Amino acid sequence: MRFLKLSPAYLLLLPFFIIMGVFFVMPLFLIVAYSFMAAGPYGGVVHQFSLDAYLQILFEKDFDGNLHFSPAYLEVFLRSVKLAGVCTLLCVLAGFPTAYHMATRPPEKRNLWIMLVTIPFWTNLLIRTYAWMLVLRNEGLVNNFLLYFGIIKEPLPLLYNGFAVGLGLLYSYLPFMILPIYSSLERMDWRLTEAAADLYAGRWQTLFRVTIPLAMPGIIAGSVLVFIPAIGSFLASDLLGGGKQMMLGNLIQLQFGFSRNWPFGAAASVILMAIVMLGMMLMARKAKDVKGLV
Amino acid sequence: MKIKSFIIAALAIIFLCPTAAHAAGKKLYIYIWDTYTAPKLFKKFEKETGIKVVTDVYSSNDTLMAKLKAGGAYDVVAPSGNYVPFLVAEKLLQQLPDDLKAIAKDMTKSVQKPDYDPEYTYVLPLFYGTTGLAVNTKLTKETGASWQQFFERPAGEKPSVGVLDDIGTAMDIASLAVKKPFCDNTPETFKTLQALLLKQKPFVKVYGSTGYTERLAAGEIPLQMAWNGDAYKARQQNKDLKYVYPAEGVEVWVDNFAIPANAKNADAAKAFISFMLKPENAAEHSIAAGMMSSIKAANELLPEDMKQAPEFNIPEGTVTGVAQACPAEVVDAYSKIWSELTR
Amino acid sequence: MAAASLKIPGFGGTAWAGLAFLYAPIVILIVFSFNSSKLITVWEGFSTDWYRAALDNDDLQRAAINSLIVGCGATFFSTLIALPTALAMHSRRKKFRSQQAVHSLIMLPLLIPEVVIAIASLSFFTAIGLSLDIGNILIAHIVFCIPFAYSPLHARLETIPPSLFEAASDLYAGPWLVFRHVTVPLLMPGIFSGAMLAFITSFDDFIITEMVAPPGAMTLPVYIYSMVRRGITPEINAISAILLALSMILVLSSYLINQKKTS
Repeated sequence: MRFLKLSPAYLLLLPFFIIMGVFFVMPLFLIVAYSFMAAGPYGGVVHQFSLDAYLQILFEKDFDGNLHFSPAYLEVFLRSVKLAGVCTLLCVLAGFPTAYHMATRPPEKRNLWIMLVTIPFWTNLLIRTYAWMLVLRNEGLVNNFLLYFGIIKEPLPLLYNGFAVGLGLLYSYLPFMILPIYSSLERMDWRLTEAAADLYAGRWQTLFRVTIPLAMPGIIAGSVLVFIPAIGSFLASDLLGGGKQMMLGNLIQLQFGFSRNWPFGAAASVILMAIVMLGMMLMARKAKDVKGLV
Repeated sequence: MKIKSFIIAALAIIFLCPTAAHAAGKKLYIYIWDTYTAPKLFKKFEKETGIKVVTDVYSSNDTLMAKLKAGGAYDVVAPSGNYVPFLVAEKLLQQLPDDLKAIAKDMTKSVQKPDYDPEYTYVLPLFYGTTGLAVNTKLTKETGASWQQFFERPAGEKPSVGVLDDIGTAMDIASLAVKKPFCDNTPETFKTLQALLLKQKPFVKVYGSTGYTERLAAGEIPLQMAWNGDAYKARQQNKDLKYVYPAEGVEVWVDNFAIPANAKNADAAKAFISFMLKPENAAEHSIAAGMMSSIKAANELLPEDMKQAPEFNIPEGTVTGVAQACPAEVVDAYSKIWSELTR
Repeated sequence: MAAASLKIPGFGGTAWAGLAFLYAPIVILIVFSFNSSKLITVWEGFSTDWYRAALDNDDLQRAAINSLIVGCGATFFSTLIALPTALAMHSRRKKFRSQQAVHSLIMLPLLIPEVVIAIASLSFFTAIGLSLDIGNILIAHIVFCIPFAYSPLHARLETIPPSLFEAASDLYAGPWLVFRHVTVPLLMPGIFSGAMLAFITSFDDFIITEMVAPPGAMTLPVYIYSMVRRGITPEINAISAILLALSMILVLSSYLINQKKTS
């Protein structure tokens, strides 16, 4: 690999390290520092070491001033993770066939498909979520349609529940799953699948034994792009879920808004970061072990 | 489709876009509530003074404060009354000159000598409004006579009420319902408020403020805690709506003009504020924003339907509580109550 | 032959259904952009007034242009940074010990809720006195666009055996030639996918932009959020429809330019 030998990895990584080092890692230090400070009276922080923010996540003072264990924030965290997981799964189920279809189009049509998949996202997310409200509400298109044809007698409750939130999340993140899968499938050596088919493996067998394993890098990349942002999302739960159940995104937003408790907001993000990073590293190690066995 | 051609096309479109006109001369940077922009009126100011107005908007007082603290060089801002003490304490506002202060004598009684700045040292009231109850008379027989009724729903009812998710507002209204003062700092009050809200939750259709005007207009919500301006807007579309002032009273809030401490163009800012508070301009601003102007004479100049609108006329004898800046412990307790409510 | 064995029943249908799902709300938006009513919830009659209003609105155009500039800039630079990063991560896969750490660093911007990045970036920009006007927004956007530009590229590279690059350089092709004629063409679908994801992420960002935007630099999402709070008038739909038309023209024209070239 002459090209890479001449320009060692660190040189290639230089622009990334410069930009991230200055404009991301430095602010990140600020966040970590905030999480160990005390909340300022008018928002912001006062420069004074404090662990209150971390204690607050698991323990709370009740109104009479007694400290006790409180699982409320833990619940919020678990709910967000669960919802993000469901969303990721749905995205894979809908995204993989779409990406497969795109990758098997004639080459000149493939970029067109990429554009087709992303163009709806030129419209603001808030506006698109609104449009879903128009579709799903009691007097919305779906219910009116079903009522008109007498399929149902009463409007179906499609809005302000878990179904609507799931639908909204799937809608917000689908392209972030489709495109990574597509880019790993696009170059697939279709002769492999043909060879498999020639060996009288069924289409489905070929899919599960050959295609999906080859598309794995794309599925993993897409899952990361969907799962992680979905944990912190709040628009879908606010607008389509009726704001009745808080997500991690809402909780953190609240600390930088009404609560004016920056250290708590920062601490919650630091913990979120730590947990997800740990999860990712464990998964990477596990993947390596599996690879090592094969 | 090749990437290169894609880039060429992209560049072409960007350059074909009409570039916004950049007028020469002085610029005035205003940073106001997103609902308070009035492009036509700002143009009129430009014509009269030759000062170009550049408008930026925010959607929460916290954003405004964060940006001012970070040194954002704006010339005019419009903070809510309950945030003014914070901004003053952080030394983010500059003192107003006497000729601006003098405008205060033309203001309606409801906003005169506000307790957050009784001498108008830093701010001048711009708009004020109420938080009341919007009732859809077609969907419910209730009259919205009391907040207590709004919170304590009959057993077995389908989820049908809408609550604003602005926590300060929701807590003020809940305080009214249990007849406690705003920002009451006692454990008993916190427990009472929490119990009240938790009991109401099974009957709440939506906690939210984004899009509730549309929900009202579409006739989706029988009873909705609402800001007067939005209720008025929704009623233009849906005549079944009624804005009522429950017996326990309503919350009153005031937004104000102020000049930040590090304004680069304070003279233009002064000119702008006095321009905007002239009765005829204030009236126009009032119409554009759908809000009640602080200027008494401006309200005389409003179109008839606005003048008569129940949303803009607080009935004689209505109990009014002015939104305040709650102390930190109360904010903490309110956050806890809200987190528990939506956990 | 090949096509037949590649077809999997239901996949084509899913793809078209997926596309329909993505476009359903967009179609509704466009229909309601011709609504004469002041609110989008109730249909009152046909009108093109909202398009006139949108085209007359200076603030709106300023915001849209800012958004396009920031979006294109962030897409360009984040892709420019993501490409060598992905190559470096790929090349040394066996020897590169801190690879996992770098990988985590790339994904880190996804992990921190936007409002936190927004506050931290604003504080940091203020601390170092960064005031590049719209450049402040651009820098913040580049940072959070990098993971989106990077992921499809990385996924793409995983499917390419290093032997391909080696074969090319064995033919005594210089590094630049290998890069230009082997690496880039091979990676193109990944580059394009990543760039599009970066663009839509930047173009849609509200929270970070609202916080780091200097005076006078409003973007489209910030403007749209403010309009939404005033009650959604079909003017917003009109803007969305105009943008949609613009992007369609973009796709179509680049398709045509390309057709002409190949013919």
